[in-house]
Amino acid sequence: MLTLTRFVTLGAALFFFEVAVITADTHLPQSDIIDGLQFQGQTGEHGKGEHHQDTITFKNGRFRSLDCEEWGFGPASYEYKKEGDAFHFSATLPSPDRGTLEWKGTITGDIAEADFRWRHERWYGNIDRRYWFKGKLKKTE
Amino acid sequence: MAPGDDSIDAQRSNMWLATVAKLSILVLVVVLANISVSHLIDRLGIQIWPEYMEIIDRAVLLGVLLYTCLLAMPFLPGVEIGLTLMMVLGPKGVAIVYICTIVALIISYGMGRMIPAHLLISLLNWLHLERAARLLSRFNAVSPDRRIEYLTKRASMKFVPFILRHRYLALAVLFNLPGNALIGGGGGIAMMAGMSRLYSFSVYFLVISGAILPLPVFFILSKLL
Repeated sequence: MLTLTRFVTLGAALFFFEVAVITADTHLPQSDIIDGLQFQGQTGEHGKGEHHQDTITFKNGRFRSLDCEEWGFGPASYEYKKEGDAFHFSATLPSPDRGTLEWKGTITGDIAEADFRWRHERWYGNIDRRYWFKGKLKKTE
Repeated sequence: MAPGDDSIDAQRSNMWLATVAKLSILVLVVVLANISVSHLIDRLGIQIWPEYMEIIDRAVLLGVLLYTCLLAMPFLPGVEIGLTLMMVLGPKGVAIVYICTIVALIISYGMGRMIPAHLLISLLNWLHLERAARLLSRFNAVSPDRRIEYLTKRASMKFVPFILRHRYLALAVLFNLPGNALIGGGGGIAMMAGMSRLYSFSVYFLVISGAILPLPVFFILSKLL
């Protein structure tokens, strides 16, 4: 009887562990942190259509935009706060020769929506362009 | 009051009205062009991303150099490129176009002053700028003391006697005259000013610095509206 109870308990534990692993891969974990999340989606200039695909990540307290990284905008620390079911985050990605990208966005459920602004001073004027990003949760770590 | 006084007053009043109307049209054109370029960029859906940084830099540099070169040559459409640059680049672009305009007018003046007239005419012919070459030939044939009169008459300026007494003022007016394309535009006028040897460089520099201000000022005002 004791063996049967142990077997059932182990089985139940395994079942719940599996459920937790499966849901963790597709849904926002029920915690107050966003570190470890990765979103993939489309991005474009404000008021215009899609331009290309981008992936944003939150890992070890650093925010990255994989596409922007190709142009020299390195990872940067991010800030976030929780409001109801949504997480609001912000980060400023620096670049050695192309100015900065200021990201501000919201994660609701498994969707991340963000606005980001490219600011760069040139000899002929100040570049100030605004962009959007909308992505779906790709994975959690 | 003599009967002729009324008609002179009426003529003056008409002249002022015409000037105000022309200036209003100029302001309207600048404002409309400004709005149109912004709408065109939006309609075309052109997206500007950091990856295009080098292309943007080169395009602006090319535009600035092209503007300076075209404006320095008589009868070439530099003003249109200048307007486009101001519209696309905004307030900082206005300052750049202003500086480039001064540089272009100094180049034209220097060419007119330093290069012998026959070489300059040959150069213009070689560049297939026959109209500019003919203008300089005719200008060169006029005696130096009658050259300002020649220019102002060709530009159909109604206040010639007053202008002739103030040659630097004549130059400033010519640069801003809507019909100055007939006498070679800014580049042509500057080249002939150099050729005439009637203008000292330092005063010429001060005059053009002030004379070319109206368009940038109109542009900045149109941005503020």
